[in-house]
Amino acid sequence: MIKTRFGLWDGAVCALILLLALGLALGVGAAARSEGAVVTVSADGALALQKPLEGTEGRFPIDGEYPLTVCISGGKVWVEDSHCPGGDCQAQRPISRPGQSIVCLPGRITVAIRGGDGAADLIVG
Amino acid sequence: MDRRVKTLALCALLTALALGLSYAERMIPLGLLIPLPGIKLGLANVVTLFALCFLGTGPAFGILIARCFLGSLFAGSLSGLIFSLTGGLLAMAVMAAARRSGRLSVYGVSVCGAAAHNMGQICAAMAVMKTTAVISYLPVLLVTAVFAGALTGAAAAGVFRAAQASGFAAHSREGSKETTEGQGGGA
Repeated sequence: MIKTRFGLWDGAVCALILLLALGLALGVGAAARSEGAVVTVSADGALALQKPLEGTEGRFPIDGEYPLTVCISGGKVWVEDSHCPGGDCQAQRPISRPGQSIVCLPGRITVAIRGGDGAADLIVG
Repeated sequence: MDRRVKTLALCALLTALALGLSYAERMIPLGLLIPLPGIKLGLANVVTLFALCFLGTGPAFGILIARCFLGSLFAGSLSGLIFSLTGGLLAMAVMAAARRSGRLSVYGVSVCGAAAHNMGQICAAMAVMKTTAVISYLPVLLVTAVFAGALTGAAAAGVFRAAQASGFAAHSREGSKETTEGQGGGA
């Protein structure tokens, strides 16, 4: 019968998963140091919008099954007026660093900040 | 009553319970705390874990498939099926392997399952969205998996202790030599 008390190996597994999360977060953080960040919006895998993060101000409607509006202002990006049933994309906090993204799963829309100069989206390890 | 009929009836009950738990946890506003798609406690995982430990891999697989299909059907969102199915299948495979290792308790197995579920969902999201940008969600999802997995593990531990105390465990596959007989009785 499987044990029902928390043991040493369970703690080790939890620590390992938290370390993996930390490693991934650091990888995303490493990508954030690149300059010339660009905001890209993909709808169903196709590029729908691309704007430089710095210097761009405005609201950009994105068409799709569930239309939404991407707002860029003051070096931050967020989603407004989403028509998707969940509304998670709209509830998310503004993003401002390369590697961060806002995803609307029902609408298959991804708002991402990518590093400039061909920097990698994610550096692991 | 025939053992296979009993297993089938139990699988049907567990499927209904898993669906009920999936529906109930939607009322917990976890998204307000962590507004990320896919964030949930995963209470239905308690049922998968129970089926895996007491009935075997076959029935647990059947319950999982039935729960994913019916859940998507009832929610009216078949697009969500790929996420629940990918996450669920990976979680079950990892939990089955973790359980077989013999070193982990129900807590560790549950945490492994929660982490695998989130990884599976991220893989599905990358395929559906055709972008790798969603991987930036993985660190947060993995951290929440540890806490959610421990919580569902605690719930499962309580259920397991009750099952042992009631004598259910002695009549389950766990108490006897594993055979393929019961595996055909999935829901």
